[in-house]
Amino acid sequence: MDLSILTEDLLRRIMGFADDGAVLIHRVVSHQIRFSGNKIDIGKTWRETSISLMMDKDKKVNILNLSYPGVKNIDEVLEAAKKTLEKSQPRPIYAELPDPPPSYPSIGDKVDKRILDRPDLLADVAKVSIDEALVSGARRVSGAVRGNYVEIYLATSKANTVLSDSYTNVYLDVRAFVDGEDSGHASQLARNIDGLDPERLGREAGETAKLSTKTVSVDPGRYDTVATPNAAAALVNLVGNSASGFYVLMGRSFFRDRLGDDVAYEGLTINDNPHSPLSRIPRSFDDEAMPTRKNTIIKEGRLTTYLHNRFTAKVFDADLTGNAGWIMPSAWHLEVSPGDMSRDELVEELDHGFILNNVTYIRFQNHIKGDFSGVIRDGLFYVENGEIKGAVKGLRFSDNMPRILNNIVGIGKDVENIFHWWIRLDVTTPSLLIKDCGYTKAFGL
Amino acid sequence: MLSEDLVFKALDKALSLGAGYAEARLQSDKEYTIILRNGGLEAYGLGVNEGLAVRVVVDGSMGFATTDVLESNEVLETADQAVKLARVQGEGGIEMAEVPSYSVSYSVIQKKKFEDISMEEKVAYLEDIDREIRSLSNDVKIPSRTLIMSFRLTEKYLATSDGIIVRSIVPRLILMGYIVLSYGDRSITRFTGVGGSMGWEGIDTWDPIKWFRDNTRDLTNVIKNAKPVEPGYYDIILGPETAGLAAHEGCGHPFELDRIMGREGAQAGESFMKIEMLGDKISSEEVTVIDDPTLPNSYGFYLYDDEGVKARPRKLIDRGVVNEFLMNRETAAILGLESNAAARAAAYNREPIVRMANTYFAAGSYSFEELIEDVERGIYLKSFGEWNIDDRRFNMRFIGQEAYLIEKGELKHPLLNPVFEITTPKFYASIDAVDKNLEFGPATCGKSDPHQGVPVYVGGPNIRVRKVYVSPPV
Repeated sequence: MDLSILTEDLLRRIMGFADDGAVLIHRVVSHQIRFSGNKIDIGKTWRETSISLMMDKDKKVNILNLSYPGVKNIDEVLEAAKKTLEKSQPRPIYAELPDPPPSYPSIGDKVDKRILDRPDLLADVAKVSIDEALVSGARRVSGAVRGNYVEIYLATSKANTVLSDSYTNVYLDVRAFVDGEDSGHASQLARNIDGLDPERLGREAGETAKLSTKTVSVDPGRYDTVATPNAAAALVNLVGNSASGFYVLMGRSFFRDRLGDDVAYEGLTINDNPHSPLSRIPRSFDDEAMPTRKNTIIKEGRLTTYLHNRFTAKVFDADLTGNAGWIMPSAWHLEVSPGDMSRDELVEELDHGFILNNVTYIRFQNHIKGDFSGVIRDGLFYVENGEIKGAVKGLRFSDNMPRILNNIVGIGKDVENIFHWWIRLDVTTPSLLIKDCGYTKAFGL
Repeated sequence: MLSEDLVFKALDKALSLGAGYAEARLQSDKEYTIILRNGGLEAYGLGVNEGLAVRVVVDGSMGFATTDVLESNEVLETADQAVKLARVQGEGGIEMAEVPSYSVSYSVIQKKKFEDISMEEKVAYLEDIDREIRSLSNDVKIPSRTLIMSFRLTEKYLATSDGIIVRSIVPRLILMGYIVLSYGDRSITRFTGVGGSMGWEGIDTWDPIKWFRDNTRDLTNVIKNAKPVEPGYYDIILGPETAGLAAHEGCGHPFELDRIMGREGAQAGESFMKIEMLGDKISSEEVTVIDDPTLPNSYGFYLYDDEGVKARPRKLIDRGVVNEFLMNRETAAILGLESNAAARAAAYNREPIVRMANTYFAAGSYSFEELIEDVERGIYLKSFGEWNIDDRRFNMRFIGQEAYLIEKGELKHPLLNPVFEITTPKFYASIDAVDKNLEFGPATCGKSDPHQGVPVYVGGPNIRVRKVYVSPPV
């Protein structure tokens, strides 16, 4: 079925009873190779079409999400939706769907058809990364490589055309082990398969795992820290989440009531930029048909904007930012503006401190205050006078996000594009030098 | 109604292409969601996720493919894709533990069908909860209240090449709330809820209005009166919510045999447990941890897993001794054992992997008063805010949200976020008593790549952990 025609047809049906409406269709073909213990565990493939319908009437809003089989019962589904809409309540804060602009940004070539047609290439990528990690000192290697081809179709009652977009992305996640706790990790995201460097990732993961075998004992406490891009990406993810206007309203944001304030180190600038050639989701329009754009969330330490859809923009009396999901706005692709220091120069700044390679399993004790902790893995190295003394085991990263943002004192130029299992948003970031990070230790170690 | 003949077309095709093992699963998940924020209807919607998955083993390698186009040609193409994805790997060593063939069906009957309850009544119920919470606001403010009602009806039809056919229908209802309290410069963010495999009758069973009212009321006391905890050694009583989390994270996950064997190494992680630890004593005889998918009306309920294996309660720790791991057919075959039916898939487009269902400490013989009465200096950690655990499940951390000091056998004032950070072996070795009060709560357990969130119960009785180090937050 032509999905553009289906999009148009579904919108026409919605507009038979609604004041406003929108139809969003995603068609996704994905392949994945997962591996562990130096061998491939499974190859997977998905072919899916998801259909989302939104309808407004008298300031009431109803949303339906259907997989493709739902189309065959669409008359029945829409009749039920119409009745539900009638019995519902108006939203306390309502804004109409926005009028679309005359044009949308062009993001260039975004599709590598080999990701769609050649899953065998992904198996090759997996094998190369395994071999390289083993050569570099690992005994066991695990990971996954996944490629996605995505088509999007969007029609809203404010526009007179069906918008469409397509892109591919591929990402590789490699984790190498020497022994139980001695691990290294490397990940990479690209838009085409040639953008992946499985040899480098395997080598980095293997070398880090090997380096982790030489351990030193260090007490918990506060230490200056160089967060390498993997770890920095995990922290920057928290900034992206907290910038969503929806999370601010819900009380799940440490940026609540901070708009316009200095919230971070004056050298820190964080953008949300779907137009980056490294963005996993290089969309030219958001789910309300507004053009996407580069938004600067933090500019030289100052919180400059929340990210909005039509409802949160209304609450905050703000302009739309091109980040709409129908229920909540979200960032697309975060990028930290690089500094001018090499990673070695950042490490040289440590009299006694840590190189932190990964923070996972981050949980907040209090989202508004920003108190959280995260599990450290894949290499925490103790440094004295700029020299690595050994790996440290058993510590936990326990701190507060507003404090961390203010305690950044240096930004590297070693930019990497990070996306892996533990983070939701892809992030382009260099290493960050952060003063006085908190580390705790479990009883019984 | 699922088109069941498509399952057999997929199986036949996969076998004709050389698969040594094949399974095909049709699954439909129909989900209704209503979100109320600060008393106003934020969003509501219906989601239908329906399709077919084919999983095969070809020359010892595993392939998995899915489609949501439920037509004959597409299903045959999907079987072909699964076989191709297995073949690109080359020869592997995967075998599936044997299971006798049978054809069964089961369903959980909704006494009050969720679909028959009007939209007005559902929204009104959430409004009642919101009103009840709001009424507790005085000098303690409750500025943000987000309530979510979600109902999912899961229908499955599974067939395997070794002759298993399983049909099932399970409804699941859950009410969750995210509540923000503030008092001066203090704030608390609380996420809690009730749920299970039931229809609208769950509302009568769980009394969610009371649940949210009591939770919020207790926290208004905590936010006003909590005092910082003095760092030092304490005996800790974990309430059912926190004990349940400890059972899930510190026993359930590390006892998943795929993690022990390294299959989740780059994602959720591996395990500190080793196969050789079967039979080891790791705790007192008071401690038995069970994972039981067959608990009636539980959130993690099923009677047959997604590989068609008949479910049973699994005693992971039996009176202090490591008794069995959670296994699917693939991992059980490596040990030469039978699967204990732990294979679950979160949706039609996810592979079945080793998962928990309802994991809990079995009830003991003590009363709550008996747990407390000989505690000289302790903490009753009733609920938690933050938690995490390392990817080998060796190093746990819980921060109390509702927690009280215990002195000379008596509950005293609330404490401000006591931090309890301990290794899993030390935790189990320090439990000396378990009470009779078994309680459960719903949760979503995350694992795998792509992510799979499956419904589970976590819970248990109150448990006593002797002499552990507690500190204030950093």
